[in-house]
Amino acid sequence: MIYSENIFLCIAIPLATCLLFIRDEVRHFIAAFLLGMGMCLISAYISGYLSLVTNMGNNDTAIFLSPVVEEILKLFPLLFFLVVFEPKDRVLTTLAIAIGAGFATFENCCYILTVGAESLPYIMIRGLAVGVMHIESILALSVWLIMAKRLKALSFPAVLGGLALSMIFHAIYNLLVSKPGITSAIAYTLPPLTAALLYLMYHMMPEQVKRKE
Amino acid sequence: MIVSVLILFNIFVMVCSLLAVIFAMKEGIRSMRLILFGFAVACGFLSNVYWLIYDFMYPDKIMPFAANEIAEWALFMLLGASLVADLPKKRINPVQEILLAALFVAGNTGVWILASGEWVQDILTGLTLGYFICCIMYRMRYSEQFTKPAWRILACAALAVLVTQYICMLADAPYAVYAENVCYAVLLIGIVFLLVSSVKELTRGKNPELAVCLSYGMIAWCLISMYLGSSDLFYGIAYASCSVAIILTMIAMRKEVLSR
Repeated sequence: MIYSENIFLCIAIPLATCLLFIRDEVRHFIAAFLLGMGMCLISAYISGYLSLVTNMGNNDTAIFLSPVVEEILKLFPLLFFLVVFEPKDRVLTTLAIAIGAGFATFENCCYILTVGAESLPYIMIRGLAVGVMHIESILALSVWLIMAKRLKALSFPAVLGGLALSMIFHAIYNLLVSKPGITSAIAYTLPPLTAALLYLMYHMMPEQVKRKE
Repeated sequence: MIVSVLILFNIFVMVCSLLAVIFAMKEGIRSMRLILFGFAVACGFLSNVYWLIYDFMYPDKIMPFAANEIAEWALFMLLGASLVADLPKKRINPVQEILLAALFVAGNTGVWILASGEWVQDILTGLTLGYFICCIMYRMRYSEQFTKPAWRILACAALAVLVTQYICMLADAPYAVYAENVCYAVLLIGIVFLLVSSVKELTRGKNPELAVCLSYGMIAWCLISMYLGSSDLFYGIAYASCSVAIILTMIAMRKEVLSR
């Protein structure tokens, strides 16, 4: 057992102190990073509670419940920023990346403290797979929200569609890693490959669209 | 085994539809309807992939609530949204049609709850599928292409399906079997009728709006058939027809967007 609240406080206090002395985009990034960490902590509580209520084991919770809870909690702050502050597209994607990075960092910290950090290859896989996955799922979601906003179609079905896609992507990853062997190997390659694909797509995007950001 | 083959076929159809949407956008066809349809298809595709992987990894374990169900709900809602997005304003009063859809879906949800006992999942599925069917009804009314007799036949078919399903659930052996056969017959006739009408309308090519309504109607009717059918053969037919309906919808939607 680890005391995740204590870990959260330990990492969050220096970052929160930074917020007093920095400005503009860096400040937004750090604030959203902290928020992402907080969402990770809350999602751990909710998943743990649901696991107890439904009598699911750790493996089943990771396969069935965690992707749903985690993606919903990552969406909330993003949607809040979008609806309340109506930020520029570029700011929204930065916030999305920061929320995803904060979430992944805190999850990795807790995971390493639970399992240990002896094996460097495994730690690398963990960083490249889970770390990247959290960032790209929320980044793709933010791009979809921006697109829907531009086309004046930011409705409940559109938000649910984007959320469902990020959830199912996350769920497929968790399902594949739930058993060792070939399926795990496929799962570990999935996030870096998707990240490469997203990067390529961004660079293939017409300049006009990029400039709009 | 057959179900896995059908899922693979459905995945193939979804990938083709997704590629068709991407190519259409590359050709400069920027329509919100097409984008929403593309997202719906992507949800269906990933939901099927999840199901297939789960079936491969845990063949003996029944799947509880999972992310693929949320993807299915999103699929229904996005399909509905893609049907009514970007429509020019028109004064219509579709209360009767939407009421018919709502009652039909509520009745269906009751049947699912009686059969499975999964209250929350069935109600949420009913709500999202209800939204999709309400959108179809709205669009049918909006297009003003359906005559009064056509609406009456639709209402009778919906009523027949519901009544026979409740008899199946609540009555004893001989009546339940008769009712089930009648229900399957009505559902199959509906699928064949919608398939033939959609293909006919698409090949004629004069009225893409009607083709869109018919192909979307076929998707909804196939989904209802899949949820109500308890025999594997019937489920397989409905599932394969649903895949075909997605292809028809993609073609009809593209034609309609190009014609505007």
